Amino acid sequence: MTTRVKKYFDIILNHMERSSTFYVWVSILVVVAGLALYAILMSLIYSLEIFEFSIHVIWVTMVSNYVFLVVSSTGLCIVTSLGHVFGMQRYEQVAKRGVFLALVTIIFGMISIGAHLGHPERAMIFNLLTPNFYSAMWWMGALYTFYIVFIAIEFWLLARDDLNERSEQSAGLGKNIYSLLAIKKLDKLPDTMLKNHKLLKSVGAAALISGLSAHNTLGALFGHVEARALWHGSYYPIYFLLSASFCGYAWLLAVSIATYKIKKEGIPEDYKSLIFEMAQVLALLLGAGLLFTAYKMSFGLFTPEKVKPILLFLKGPFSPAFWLFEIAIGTVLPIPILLVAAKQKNSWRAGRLDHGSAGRLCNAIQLW
Amino acid sequence: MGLKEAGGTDMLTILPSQPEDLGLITPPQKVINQNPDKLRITGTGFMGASVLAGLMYTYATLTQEKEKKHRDNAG
Repeated sequence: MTTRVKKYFDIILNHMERSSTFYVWVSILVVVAGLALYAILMSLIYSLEIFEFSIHVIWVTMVSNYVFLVVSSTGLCIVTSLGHVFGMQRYEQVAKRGVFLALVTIIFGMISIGAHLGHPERAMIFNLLTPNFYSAMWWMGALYTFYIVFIAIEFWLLARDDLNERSEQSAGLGKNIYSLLAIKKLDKLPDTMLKNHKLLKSVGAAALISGLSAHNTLGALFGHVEARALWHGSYYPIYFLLSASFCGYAWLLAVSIATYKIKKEGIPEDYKSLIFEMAQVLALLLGAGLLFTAYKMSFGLFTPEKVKPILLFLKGPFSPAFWLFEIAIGTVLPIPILLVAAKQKNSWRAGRLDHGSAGRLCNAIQLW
Repeated sequence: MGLKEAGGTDMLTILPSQPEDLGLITPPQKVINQNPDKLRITGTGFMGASVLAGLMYTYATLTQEKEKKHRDNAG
């Protein structure tokens, strides 16, 4: 038994190339995950105050975590669906990575909001037993449940070929596990469903529709809160969809380039071309996001009930975070960098830019 | 027997009649979650989602030439 465990452990380590970076990275992740688990446990046993939850500010750390993670997941779903739903084959290069990230971010997003509830088990039981169809929050939970199911099936369909391949390459227990994960029996089905990607297209479309609906409902949930003048109105559902789009592009650009850099592999030409194109689209979306923020702030200044919260951002205690992170670093600075990269793409294609410079531009894109 | 006073005073109020009949003013009942404004806000979001799907379709259509090049390279 011990020998077998040691053998599998060795296989895993060999897959990770036994690099020191890997150990450092895993150690950091283990420490952070341990701290998070401790905080969640303490919040359930003692008090939600560990998340800075208070009667004055009720939507705090875990809600902002949740919003960031589900915005990212929806955005990743939007970008990847350009490939297998809208027929842009070049986007299929990022499909598996994107759908995997979408699945991971939505699962951790749901864990965040579950921890915020204090008694997540009650939500699970009573959402089913006594649903309130007039509640945006109920709809958000229901739609995200559908979204998780669809995105998980989508990832499985994308990963199935690899699982089949691995089962053929492996032997013994590994072979059985991979065969089980790939559900080999499905290979006996008529070719049309799995091999023509029809099922993938349908599931991808279902994930996109449920994801957009759920995300819109999340935005509407903020928009419905009359007690918070800054959020109240039709602005947030639309802005949430826009922010999901640029978040999805940013995630995919950063993670794709980082993966190739960590693996010390060159980015394939087609992939590099897609990265430059994505940078261009991201710059456009960030520009639209900047216009939305300008509209929110200027419109708010002329709306009596919104003036006070708006001033908190413009020249109050939140102003350093707003001007430095949201506006300067998050929106304004990346646009010229991404646009310069997109412009340089043409030089690179025409052979006027060497691969080293293209790589440096990729780094610049990743940085932002 | 009576009704528990609202507001957490733990006092029992026993009235001989309906409050309105005694001239007591009662606030109107709030109708929860039936505010048409909420439908407007949610509806705007769905309209935004439709516009986004339309833009994605337009993006796919406008870049067909690039897509053809990619397919030629891949094939």
